[in-house]
Amino acid sequence: MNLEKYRSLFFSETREHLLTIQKLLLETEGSDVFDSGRIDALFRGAHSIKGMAATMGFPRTAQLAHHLENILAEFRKEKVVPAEKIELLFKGFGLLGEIVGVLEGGGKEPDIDPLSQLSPRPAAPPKALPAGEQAPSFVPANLPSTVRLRVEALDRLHHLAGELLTTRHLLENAASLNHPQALKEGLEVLARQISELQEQVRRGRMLSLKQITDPLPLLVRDLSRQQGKRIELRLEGTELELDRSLLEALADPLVHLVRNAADHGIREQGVITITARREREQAVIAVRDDGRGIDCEAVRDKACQLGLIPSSQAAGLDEKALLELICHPGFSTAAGVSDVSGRGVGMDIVREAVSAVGGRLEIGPERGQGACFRITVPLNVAIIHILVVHCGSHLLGIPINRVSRVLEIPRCELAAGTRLTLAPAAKGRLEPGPETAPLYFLGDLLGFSGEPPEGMLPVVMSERGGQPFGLIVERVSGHKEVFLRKLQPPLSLIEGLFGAAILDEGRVVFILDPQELASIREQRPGSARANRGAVPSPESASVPSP
Amino acid sequence: MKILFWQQGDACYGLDLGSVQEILEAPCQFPIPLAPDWLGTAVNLHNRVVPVADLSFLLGTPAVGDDSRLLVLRTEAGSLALKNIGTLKIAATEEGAEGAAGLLQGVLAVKPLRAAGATVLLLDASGIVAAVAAKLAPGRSRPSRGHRPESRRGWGAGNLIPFPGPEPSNQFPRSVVSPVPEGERP
Repeated sequence: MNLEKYRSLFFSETREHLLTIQKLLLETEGSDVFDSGRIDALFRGAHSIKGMAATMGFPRTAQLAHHLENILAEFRKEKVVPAEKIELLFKGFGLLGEIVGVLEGGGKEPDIDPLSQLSPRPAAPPKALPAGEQAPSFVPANLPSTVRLRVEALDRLHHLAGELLTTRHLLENAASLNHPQALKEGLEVLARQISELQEQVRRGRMLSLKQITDPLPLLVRDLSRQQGKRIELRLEGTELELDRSLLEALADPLVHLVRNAADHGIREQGVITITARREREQAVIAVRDDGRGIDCEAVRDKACQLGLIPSSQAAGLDEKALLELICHPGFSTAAGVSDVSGRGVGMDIVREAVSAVGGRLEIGPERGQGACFRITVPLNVAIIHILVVHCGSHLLGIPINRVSRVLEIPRCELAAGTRLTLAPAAKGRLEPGPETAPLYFLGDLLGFSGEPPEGMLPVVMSERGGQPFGLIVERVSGHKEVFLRKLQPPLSLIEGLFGAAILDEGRVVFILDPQELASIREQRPGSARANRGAVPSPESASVPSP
Repeated sequence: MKILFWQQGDACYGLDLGSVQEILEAPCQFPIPLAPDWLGTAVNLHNRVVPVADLSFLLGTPAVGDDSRLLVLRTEAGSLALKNIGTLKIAATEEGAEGAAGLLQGVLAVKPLRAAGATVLLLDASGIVAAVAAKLAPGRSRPSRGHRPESRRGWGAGNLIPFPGPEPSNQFPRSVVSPVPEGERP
């Protein structure tokens, strides 16, 4: 029998069983009372995995599940749950999850001996996971590759396909009869049907936040044990549904924030709370802890010491600006910072990941009252607003949520190496660096030939790592709401592109990633207009901040 | 097997007809910012954005002149349109006329076979897409359009990149890559 077509189902069901087992084991470990119902449920999970693995031709996996089933059978018989056996189950199911992950990735079943793997020898001393490493979990880190749709949703899609066919005939008929009114009406119907189709497909892509928060209890358990702390993790509102691309983007940042809270926020004992809720068309996910909080003064001192802000400016920075500094790459990767601020490690990665999906990260701590990291992301990632800009003969898009403002500066004040001086009115905002923002000709960054026109030129201001920069374009022709088309290989391999959109007339517009463009410019400064002999110009263009 | 074949430079190249999604005549092409010249445009193909690669660059052959006709490949690895292709013809392969697979320009997997009385170098569509991807992201570093270190060099010697095809030791027989005799050209 060809079992290939059942592989996806096997992985999807095993993932669900492992997540349930993980939850039940954590509950069993945290309870002093023997709960036969819970043990029965664990047994059923192990038994199901064993049966499916054997059917799919994974004998070692089945053996391992069988061995774990035996341990659970002992619990049933003896009516006790020894702590060392629980530990063995955590280890065994963890191993099972790893094997399933390997198999799902197309690898071969490893040749393991379950008995030797699960022998109750002393465990190796726990080691801390480096920043960015996946949370330990029974389930593979990637999201499931299969989607479950309610039958009604599938019926609706089927019905819509039929309606679209009818509309096509209607339009063909109207065209052949040259009947403009019928064509107009048909197109209106088509527009409604397409909108509904988009909505149905969008719903089909939605997954619960649980997909990425379910592994976190095990992570917190392991961190608690490693550090000898008593940490409780509370999850609220995680049934909130988000587009799967958002979940993929947010999985690592969440792990990072929880790790930081456990490592540096919580003292000996405390609570980490993850809450998720919908606010209009946005999802807000907050990671809070009741630990030591972030010491703003320590952040200020460290930022000065690292040269991120001049000492003269340091005193004027408010709390919000100071806290944003911990997401600065130079700050967060600095050795020993975590001991001082309690929160620095890898925060630039968190902010970049959130920003990449059009979201924002806010940090709201009070010393001695814990810390709160608030992630806000759009619920609908497929529809985005872009600023449509002209550069040479090119029409390009820039995501609006990456634009802080658009200024207009006379061409005569702009040349290679121009920096925009931020006026005193901007004081109080985050302004690391020497009070200026670099400006780049977008045409230069893109390698276009030709000189920008004279007159007033728009400068699209954005931020990267908390540092403002500007892109000089030739013209801004407004903003549009577009359906974002994620680029597929090989286009997705071109750095600096965020995606593409197809405008009403069928024109393809590429959407730029301004942060990545600035990053490329910093890494490869040689491609700029400066190196092609631009005319000397004033060192800076001074523009008051609005 | 039916193949689509054409003359390009001194040789005759082909593709399995099953890997060709569509042939577009003079579609509107849109420039791709930040892409190298040989992948400079994209087309809107039924509301999908498909990049257009210059086949003459990929094969290291002279440009054929007419780059308005596009051959769209659809593979598991993604879609890609090819421009700068010679006049297209369709033929069935001749029985028992298949040679050993080898490498062309060090990177593209080809298999010689006989069709319409000519020796055709059969290109692998998935291999072309994969090789374009590998060319674009060798460690994710990409030359800007401003400087063109490999302008029209193709993938010849000294410009080798890893390719998931046959081992380099399995070199393509020299006799196969030599020009197709005049009488055998399609």
